Amino acid sequence: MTLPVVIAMVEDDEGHARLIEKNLRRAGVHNEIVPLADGASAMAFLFGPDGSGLVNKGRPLLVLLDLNLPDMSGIDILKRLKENEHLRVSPVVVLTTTDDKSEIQRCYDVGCNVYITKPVDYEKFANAIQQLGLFVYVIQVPEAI
Amino acid sequence: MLGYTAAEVMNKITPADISDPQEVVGRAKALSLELGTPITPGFEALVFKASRGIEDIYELTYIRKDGSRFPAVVSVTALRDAQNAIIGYLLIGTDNTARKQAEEALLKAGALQSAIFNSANFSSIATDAKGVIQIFNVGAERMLGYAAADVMNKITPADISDPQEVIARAEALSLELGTPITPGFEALVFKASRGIEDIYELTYFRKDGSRFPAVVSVTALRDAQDAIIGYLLIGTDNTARKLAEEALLKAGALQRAIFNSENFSSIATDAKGVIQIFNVGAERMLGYTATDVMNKITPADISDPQEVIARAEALSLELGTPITPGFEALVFKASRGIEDIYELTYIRKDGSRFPAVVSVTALRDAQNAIIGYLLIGTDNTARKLVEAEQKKLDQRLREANEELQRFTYIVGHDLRSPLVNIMGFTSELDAWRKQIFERLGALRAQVGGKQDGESDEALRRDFEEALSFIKSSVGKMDRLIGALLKLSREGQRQFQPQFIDMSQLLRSTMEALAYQAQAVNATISIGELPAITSDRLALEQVFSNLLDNAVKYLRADVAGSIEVRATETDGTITYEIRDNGRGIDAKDRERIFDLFRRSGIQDRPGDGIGLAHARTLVRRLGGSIDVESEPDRGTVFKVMLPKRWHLPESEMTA
Repeated sequence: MTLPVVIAMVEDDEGHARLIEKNLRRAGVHNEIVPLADGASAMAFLFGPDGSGLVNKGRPLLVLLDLNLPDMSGIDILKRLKENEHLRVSPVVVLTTTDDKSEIQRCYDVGCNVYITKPVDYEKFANAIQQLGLFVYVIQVPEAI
Repeated sequence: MLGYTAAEVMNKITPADISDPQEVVGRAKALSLELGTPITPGFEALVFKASRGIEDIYELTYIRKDGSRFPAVVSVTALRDAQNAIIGYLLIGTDNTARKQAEEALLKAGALQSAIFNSANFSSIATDAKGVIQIFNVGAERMLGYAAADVMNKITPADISDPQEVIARAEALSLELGTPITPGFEALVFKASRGIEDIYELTYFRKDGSRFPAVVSVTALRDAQDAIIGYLLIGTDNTARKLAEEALLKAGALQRAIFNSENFSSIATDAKGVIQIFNVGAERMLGYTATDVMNKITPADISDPQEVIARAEALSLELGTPITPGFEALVFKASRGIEDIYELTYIRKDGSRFPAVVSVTALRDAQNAIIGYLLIGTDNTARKLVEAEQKKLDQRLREANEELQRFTYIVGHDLRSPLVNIMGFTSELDAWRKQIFERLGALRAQVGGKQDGESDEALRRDFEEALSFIKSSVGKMDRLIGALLKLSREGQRQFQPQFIDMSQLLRSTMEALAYQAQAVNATISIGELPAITSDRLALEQVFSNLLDNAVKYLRADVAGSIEVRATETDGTITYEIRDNGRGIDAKDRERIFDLFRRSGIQDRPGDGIGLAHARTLVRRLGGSIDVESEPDRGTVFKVMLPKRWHLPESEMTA
């Protein structure tokens, strides 16, 4: 049997975290959402106390990643994820306010699976997250190796 | 002739007293010998022959009262009484000066003139009295390119002279001599015909149409009765002298000034480099006295040895021949006749150093062999300092600019983040507001209380109004931040110069605006625009913005007309976008280029970014943008850009 997908939401802005969660729920996503408010706690959750990522072995993970974190850059977390033998299969959705083309390109170069810009226009924001919710609903997420 | 009054000499002195005593002595001796009888050196010597009844005419130098002398021809006659006894002498003298000189001149000229006439270096042209050429010597043939047969009995020298100069000469002579002189052959010989010595400069035309400056000397040829039978015009080619004069005029004054200046170190060496001259400037700059260095060292000994080695290597490579690191490296180019100015570090007597700019010239003798070198140096310290300072400033400016770009970028993003929340939760509130009023209505219905629909409705509208203000403000702020980010991104974009057909660029910009233009009944006309080398994307943004503004701010009551033209001067192209729109108030003409500032009635959408952006882009492209406008008449935006823009050094990527 397959385990339900766990959503690791790396987001330092509490308000954004609430809005994302609300809209995911509205889209019918009932999966566990683990809020991670800074880089350090994200690293601890994803890679475990030994930093190997072994802690998540066999767990289907979806990572929602903000790039602008107070203690480190989201890109660095993305890189570490994609370089990690256990976690590199986990899909990463970059969800950030940055709409800079070169920044987007960099994320894809490093291996992000989806890049979504948080629009200020709430209707668009809600729409984007709800579509992401539908996506979460339908995709097959492999378990961490 | 003699400067004495009769009273001064009568009954007082003899002619011997006013004659050259040496000559009187000489004459006495000669006569004593000739006549075999002793003759006293004095008056007797002057009249002895006449006293013997011998006709006597001789030359003698008289001495004037003022001590000056002149040659005279003296004829002496004895005056006798009825008994034939001598009662006195009559000495009739004529001033012999003119004849003497003429004789000398003839003696000299005879040989000279025949030499001249046969020389290929003098053009000798003889004419008849009317000016028609009769003789045209080898020199004339060589210099003027005509064969004698081409010109003899056919033309006058005026026909081969610069007509403008002949006219000018005729006018000048007419004035000088107070008599009208025809511009033609007469102007060339008039003075000579009046017996006035005449040598002048004149431009001759060769047969092939080329010209050369000549110095012409004119002599009238006369027959035995002294009537003029023709003229002789002897000319020398003046080109070399003219050139030398010009060169001397230029070089002479300048070089003397340089050589005497304290601000130039002038060091002259012999062919081997040993210093021969070390001027005051060199002494001042280098701290050596001339005696310290003259005949002792070469300029290489006071130059940075590393630089001399480097220069030798570089020149060996450049010229493909091995050059010794030493004095040779400093003058090699000059020795090959190549103009040479270079930077070099000189070392002072006290060991301190200074950067100099050195210009080297080879000094040559008449046979063009190199006899030495002249090294003129100027102290380059000030310029070097300015350059270094300039570099530092450039660097700081670049850093400040980059910091500003990063700042804008970070602030832009960090400002956007809270906006997502404000907008998000405002929208959530809005949704809850609907729910609250629905529930309120439902509750009222449940309690069966009196409906208070009107005040509920008012409250609902107040909520709606407040929330909509928040939302529109957030939207506006989001657009402003977006603009800031866009500007900062544009500022970071690497420009690429490329050749751009501007007529084509403007036409496609115009086509993109065709719909808007049609909607407001405006026509856009694009003239022939000169092509430019610049950044394409930047220019598209600039001109699309200016055309967009022109279409946006037309007047409702007149058909819109927008023209694009260009003029080109000195490597700069000025593109003009002219409209007949609403115009811009004088107080706003500078403000409109500021970020977020707009002018006039705010009845069109916009955030006040376009012109600020355009000005930033144009400045980065080395140009400027100006506006001229008359309210209710129209506006002209002028974009001045360098015709060939290239990346400034500071923007070159390594």
